[in-house]
Amino acid sequence: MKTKIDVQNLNLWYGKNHALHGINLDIYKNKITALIGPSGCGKSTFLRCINRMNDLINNVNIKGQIIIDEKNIYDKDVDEVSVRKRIGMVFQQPNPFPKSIYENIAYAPIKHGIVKKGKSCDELVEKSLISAGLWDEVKDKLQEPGTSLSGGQQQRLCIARTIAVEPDVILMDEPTSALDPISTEKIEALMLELKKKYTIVIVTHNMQQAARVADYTAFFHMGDLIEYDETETIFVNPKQKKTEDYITGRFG
Amino acid sequence: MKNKNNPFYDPSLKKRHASAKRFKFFAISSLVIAISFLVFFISDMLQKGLPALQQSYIQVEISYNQKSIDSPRSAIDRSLRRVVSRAEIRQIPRKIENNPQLMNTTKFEWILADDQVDQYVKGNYYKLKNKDKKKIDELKKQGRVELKFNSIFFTNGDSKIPEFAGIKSALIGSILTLLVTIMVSFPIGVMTAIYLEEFAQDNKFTQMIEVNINNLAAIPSILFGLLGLAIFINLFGLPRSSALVGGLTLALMTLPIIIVTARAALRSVPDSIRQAGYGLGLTKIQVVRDHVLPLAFPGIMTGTIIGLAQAMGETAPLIIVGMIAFIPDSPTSITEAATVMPAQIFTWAGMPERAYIEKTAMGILTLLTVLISLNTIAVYLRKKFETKW
Amino acid sequence: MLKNFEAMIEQIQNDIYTMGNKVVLANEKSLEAIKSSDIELFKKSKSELNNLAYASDKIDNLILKTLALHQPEAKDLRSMVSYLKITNEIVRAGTNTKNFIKHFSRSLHSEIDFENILEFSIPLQNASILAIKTAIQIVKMDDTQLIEESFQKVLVEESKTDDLYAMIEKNLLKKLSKEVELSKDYLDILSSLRRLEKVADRAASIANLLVFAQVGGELHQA
Repeated sequence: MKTKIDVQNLNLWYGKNHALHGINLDIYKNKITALIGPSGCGKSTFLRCINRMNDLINNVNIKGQIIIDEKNIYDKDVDEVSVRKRIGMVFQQPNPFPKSIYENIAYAPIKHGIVKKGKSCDELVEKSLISAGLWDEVKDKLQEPGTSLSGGQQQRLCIARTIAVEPDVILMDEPTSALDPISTEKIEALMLELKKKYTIVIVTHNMQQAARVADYTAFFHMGDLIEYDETETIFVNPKQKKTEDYITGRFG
Repeated sequence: MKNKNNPFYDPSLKKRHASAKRFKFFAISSLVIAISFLVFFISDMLQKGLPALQQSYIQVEISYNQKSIDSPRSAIDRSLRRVVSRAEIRQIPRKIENNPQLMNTTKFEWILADDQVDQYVKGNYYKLKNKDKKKIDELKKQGRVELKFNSIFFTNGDSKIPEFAGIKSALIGSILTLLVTIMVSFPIGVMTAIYLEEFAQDNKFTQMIEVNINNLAAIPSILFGLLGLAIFINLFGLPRSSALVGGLTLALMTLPIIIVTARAALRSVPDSIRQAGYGLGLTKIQVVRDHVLPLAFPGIMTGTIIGLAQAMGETAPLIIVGMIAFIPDSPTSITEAATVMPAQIFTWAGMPERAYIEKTAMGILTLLTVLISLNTIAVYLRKKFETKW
Repeated sequence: MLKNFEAMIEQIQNDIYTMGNKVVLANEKSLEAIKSSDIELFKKSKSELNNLAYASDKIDNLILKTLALHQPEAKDLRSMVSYLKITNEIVRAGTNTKNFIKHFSRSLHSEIDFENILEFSIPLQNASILAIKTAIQIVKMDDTQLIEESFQKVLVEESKTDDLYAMIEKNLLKKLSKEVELSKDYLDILSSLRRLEKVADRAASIANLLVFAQVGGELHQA
């Protein structure tokens, strides 16, 4: 099992509020890792540290290292923009750009220089939509606005958009919490497909989702990492009492 | 609302409904009062202004010959010289020059009547000598006096001769001034808003800037005129009374409005779009230019057009920079002296001749038409861009 | 590593089928052995029943994992619970079979006239084998009608074993009263044949649980 992301002693402050306390975690390549925990425990904050999205917020102070492919992404010589190209993110509310479906997917790769306008771009759009399981549903209406799709389709569009940029890692922040059960099921099946090519980290407040899709699960509580293990262990034989209380629904 | 058998009976409801009815009554009566003021104003303007759309013409015999060139007054019969417009008489030599075939001919033509005759024909207060009045009555019986459509109002500039005065030069002046205002205030205003909203750090300094910009929007407009006088005319030496100076002064005035509305439009773009952009590894410029700005554009457009419509109606600052002068010819460039419609209206309102009253009212109506069309364009543009999102 | 729900259910079904068939095979082989009086066959049939406990534990843990990770409902949940109980039933059926083989093969060395006994014991064994075989077949079935029919078949065979055993019991006790010196052997044979009846009981239990999984209702003993 190869480690893709090595988190070492990560601490984060929002102003004076110490939100993450010395997190140490190894995220493995081509596996799905779920981050679970009650509201406000820091799991989304932690996720956003991995692609340096917290840098966009004022008053945020980050100490510690996140080493990806043997380079600490918080080093001074690393440009946060290049980090985000290699580590994509899918958000809770589907947020397609107010452009056509084609444009949504094509915009970023063209800007990054991955493809040029024309045939190679068309192929990339098709490939991304197929990988996201959306091609058959939209291949005849690529010029329609992205917002004309249903919620589940929009989220798959956002996933297609993310993988078009050819990242190594896909971060997902509660990707199905705004969707109905059928769309959720489709996206969970998609995740299981995607992990063959990408490393996936997902934040979810739905424990059953973590149980269904994740290979590894990390339980956070009030800024601490309480337990991190194979999902089977966490759900059948958790080692920490806090973990057990959360899983059985005794709190949170 | 029967009690005893009615489980839904609630005694307090009567008072609450009555209170709601009262509130509704106050709201509707305010609306009625506002509308009646508007109706009164419009009908008054229409009543005073619509007559300006017609002008009296008299059919007279004009002799075109050498004597007419030397002394134009002689081209027309003596009894009619005073009832015919001075401007027409003056034009006779030029007419012969343009059309030499007229030489040594006499023609029956409809020409513009004097403004007092016009007022008499329209039934207003007039100053005519008795014999002129008799002459007009006689001509009327002969059917040689008619009211025709007044195209002169739209083809001429200002004039000391009332019947010959039109709004064209003021209209062109307004347009040129507005163009300068747009060219200067729109780019600067939008860029400032983008910087303040997307790039600037949120600290005391930027908060102070924001407060000051809001205050600028509340400054009396005449002070901008003084500012324009001091900077543009005295310091930079730009030509006084020109559309350039007027436009720059109005730009200063419109800038705060554009900045404030553009900021509001930018702020209304949901943050999720920006997050999606950053998540894909886009730079700030790419996110703002290609994703946020197109969405904020309808709001920015609306704010800009409203600001410009307001600028079009401004008089006080332009008076200070000298655009109140008498401008008979339309300006052809932004550095020539010009006047604007509100200033023209102001000037006409101060003229002694009776004929200017209707011209003032018509000028107001013209200005209103232009403003309403600008606002309509704003609504249309907003609708057009909104459907895309 | 993790598998998805469908794969896990299929694995559990296959494992239970395999485990159950081992018991069926052991019974069939022992019948062979009795018919041909071949001691070696007895040994072979017993060896089929090795590691039943181990297989049962493996399946139980797989069921536990599936319940934890996939929180099944309705038919899936009923199936999981049924399978969990069925592993126990199969282990007990296996124990019963083992004990039958042990005791019966021991009494083969005695001086009892087996011709007479076999006349009744072989039908008993056949019925018992058919019961358990049919019950295990139900694991792979999906058609409700087929399952109900098979269930009825199992019940029929099970009551057959009850009747046959009652007959043999009467018969052997009569014989025992005539040849008292062979009473221990006769009692051994009786108790071993009783085991076959128990195997049929287990089969009925298994079939009942599988019907519950398919059709629903409440759990109750067969």
